[in-house]
This record gives sequence, C-alpha cells and structure tokens, in this order.
Amino acid sequence: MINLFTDTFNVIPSDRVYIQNRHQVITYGEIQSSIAKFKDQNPELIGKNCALVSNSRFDLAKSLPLVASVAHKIFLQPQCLKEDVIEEFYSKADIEYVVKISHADIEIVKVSDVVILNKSEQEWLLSTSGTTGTPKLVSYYIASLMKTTKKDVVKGANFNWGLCYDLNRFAGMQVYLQAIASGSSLTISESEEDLNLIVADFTDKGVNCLSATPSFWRKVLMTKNSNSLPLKRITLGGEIADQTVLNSLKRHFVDANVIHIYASTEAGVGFTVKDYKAGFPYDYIGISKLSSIELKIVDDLLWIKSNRGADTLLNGSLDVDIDGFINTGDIVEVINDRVFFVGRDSGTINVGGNKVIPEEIESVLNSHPDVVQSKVFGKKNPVLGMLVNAEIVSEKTLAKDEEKVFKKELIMFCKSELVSFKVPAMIKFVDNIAVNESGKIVRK
Amino acid sequence: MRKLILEKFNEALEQTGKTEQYENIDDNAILLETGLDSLGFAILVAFLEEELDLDPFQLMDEPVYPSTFGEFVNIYERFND
Repeated sequence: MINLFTDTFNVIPSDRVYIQNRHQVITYGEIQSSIAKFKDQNPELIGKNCALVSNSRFDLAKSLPLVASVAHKIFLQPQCLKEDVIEEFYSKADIEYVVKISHADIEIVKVSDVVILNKSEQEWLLSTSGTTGTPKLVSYYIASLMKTTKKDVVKGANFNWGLCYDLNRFAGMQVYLQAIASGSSLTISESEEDLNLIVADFTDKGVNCLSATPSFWRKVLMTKNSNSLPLKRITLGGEIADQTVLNSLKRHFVDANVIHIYASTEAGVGFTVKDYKAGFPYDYIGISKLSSIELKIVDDLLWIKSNRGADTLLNGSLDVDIDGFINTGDIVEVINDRVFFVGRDSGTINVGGNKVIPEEIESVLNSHPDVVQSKVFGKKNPVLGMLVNAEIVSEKTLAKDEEKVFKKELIMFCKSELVSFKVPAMIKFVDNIAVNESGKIVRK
Repeated sequence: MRKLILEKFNEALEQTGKTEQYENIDDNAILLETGLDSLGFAILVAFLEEELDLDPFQLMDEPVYPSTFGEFVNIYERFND
C-alpha cells in the first residue's frame, strides 16, 4: 500500500519548508515527527474512515498528513455543507470518525460503527461545490489525483507555491499535491484575508508559483504591490481564461510562464495550454496527442474521457455516454483550428427565446480598458422573460454623473461586439464581485 | 409619472439604437408605432422598475398588455398609489 506522506516525505530534506504563513513555518522534518506522534496517540483511527474539518487552510494542511497517514478513507469536508448533506455523505462514505481541527486543538468524534473490509488503496473524498445543485461526493485513489504532478524533489527545492484556494476543494488539492510531491514549499493564505495582505505575504515569503481563477487574478492585478511578486509560473483554472486576462498577466509578470489549465472535480485534470492564447488547439479533439484523455464536441458541448478522473462517484450522478465520455457542461465554439470556451450550459439566460451565455458578455466587458471585472446575470422581465444585467468593477472611481456617461460608453462598446439582445440592459457599478471557496464567481 | 416615463422612454430608445426622441407622446399613440421594439419595451420596464421599485406587470392578477402610451402610463399610475 502506497502512503503518500510516509513514502514521499522520506526523500525530502527535513529542513525544507513544508507549509508557512505570516505566523508559522513548519518544515518537512517537523511534520514527519508530528505524523509519528499522531499515530502513537490515536491508534483508534488506524484503518478507519475519517472526515477532516477545519475552517483554516493552514490548520488543514498541518493536520492532513497526520490523519491521512493512519486513516483508510479521508473525507476533506468543506465547512459550508448543510446538515442533511453531511449526514448523507457520512453514510455513503461509511465515515466512522470526525476529526475537527481548530488552532492547536484536535477533537475526535466517533459518529458510527462500521465494520469495513480494508481495501488496499487509500481513498480521498472531495465534495464538489454544488453551485448548480446538490454537491457531489467524489472518491479518488491518491494515484489518480497525482497523475499529472511532477515528482522531482531536486527541482522542487526551487519552487514556492502560494495557496489561494480552499484545500478541501479539487483545485486547492491539486496545488497542495503538486507542492508536496516535489518537496516544494506551500505558502498559505486564508479565505477571509485581505488581498493586499495576501500579496504582501506571498512577496515576503518568495512565492514564485501561483495557481488561481481568472477572477482572482484580475483582483491581484488591481493590488498596488502585485508587481513585486517574484512569479515564475502562473496558472489559471476553474473559469474561462480569456485573452484579456492572459495578456494582462503576461505584460505584468514578464518573467513568468502563463499557463491555463482545464480540470474538473469529476474528470480530473484535463489538459494545459501553454501558448498564451485563449482556448485550446483543435487538434486536442479526438484521438489526439494528449495522453490519457480524449475530448469530443457534441452539439457545442465539450465531452471528456479521462483515466485520471474520479474513481467513484459516491453521491450524485454524471452525464456519461456509452463510450465513457463525461459531459462537462461547458459550451465551446470552434474558430479557425482553435476551440474557445463560451460558458456553462447551466448558466444560460433566455432573453425572449434567445440564448445568452453570461461568460461571453463578461469577456467583452472585461476587454474594455477600464473594466477590471464583471458579472453578467439574467433578471426577470415581464416582456422578454429575462434581461441581461451586468455588475462592473472599474479601476476608476466614478461620481454619479460620470457613472451615467461610463454606462453609456460600455453599452456602446458592447453594441459594437454583440447583437442587441446580448447587450446588458442594466449596468451597476460595484466595489467587489463575490467569489466562492473555489475562487469562482458566485452565480445563483 | 408621465414625465418620468417619457424620460425613460427616450433612454430606452437611445439604448436600443433608435434615432427617435420624443418631447411629448400623445395618449393615443400606439406603442408599437413609436419606434420602441420589444427589447426596448423590456428595457423601459426594467428602467422604471429601477426608478420606482415597481413592476406593475408582476403585480397584475390578469395580465394587461397596453397598446397605447396612455394605457401604459395609466398602469404605472394605478400601481404606484
């Protein structure tokens, strides 16, 4: 049986930093001693199915190796799950113990007695965010989660990853596993922290690899001190990486490689795009040069077949066809040998029978030089059913009468790019557009 | 109310790329002949909702589709009381 922590950590120099934040630094040596101590103190957890909960990313990273080195199944339980969903997940996953971490305290609660047959491979369970319905509970073998991670411990010494996703989400887990698989350091921010402070901490700790959503990156570009981040590698994922955000990052961080990545909790890591262009080459479709995944487009929707996806879906269902392709729910458009992401199938707005995809309008708005971020949504209308509405974060501070002028300008700008029913009917200026624990724009 | 509706009417015309602008609209003017198309009409209703916090069409028990400008104004006056 492969144990990630005991096996991987053995080859990493013990004085290397494992995780750090403003207040604490923990080395790989220190975490290894903690693992040994935890095993001795909590023999009841050996081979058991455990849920791990913490409201701090740092505390979670500190305790995950301890619990994962003893447990059979480990469920990285997000904070925001509803009571009935938690109950259902516990029962589906045969959870026996809940390990709650808050600061230095570890509280272990037994929730059920399950006699299980210990299978050889450890399972890691993650929950999807459930933005479009009930969250799904997905199980992975650690080998599947780590199929795309690089495992060069010598090179890993040069990398310091910043974590700005929740660790109990697929995107956060990918960053975490990439960091530890090569013995790199992980600098951890917390979700409630001010972005200026996060950028300052990441600069101070020398974070040179950072993976975040386009929404997050747009905000980073707005911070005063983002220029000082010593970035070598920038990854975008979770939302559509449009050309505007790719260009801005390339201009802003001249020494960094800018990569966008396509992944989902259900299908795992799909592919990466490294040519600084939005979308991906058409030759990725079909039996392509991509290893271990296959893509196809059916009725403008992207379908993916992957051998590094979830190993079992314990709760919820997927749209899978007879050939084993999963419907990603992402609408795509092919233009000149390139496939572009247009938006989510589930988020379309119906304006008098015409389909409008919010992300398409956002991409146009975001390409305006004075727009930092935008969110497009449908609002009920008695005449056409729905109308397109937009919220805008602008770099400019605007007085009321200036807002009116800028609104008009934005509408004219959209009109030059979009047919009339797609142009936002109402525009509102806001200070902030909320993102969820996976860094994506919250869409209700 | 009439003044506000007229102002928003002109804004909706402008936003939908129509060249017409009105200083006054006769009560008997047929809405569909004013230059405002259904998108413009939808935008007008949304503008008025923003301004008055009122969407009379959602409050109606029986939907009424106004055909003249006068009827349209009348609906708003009635529900704004």
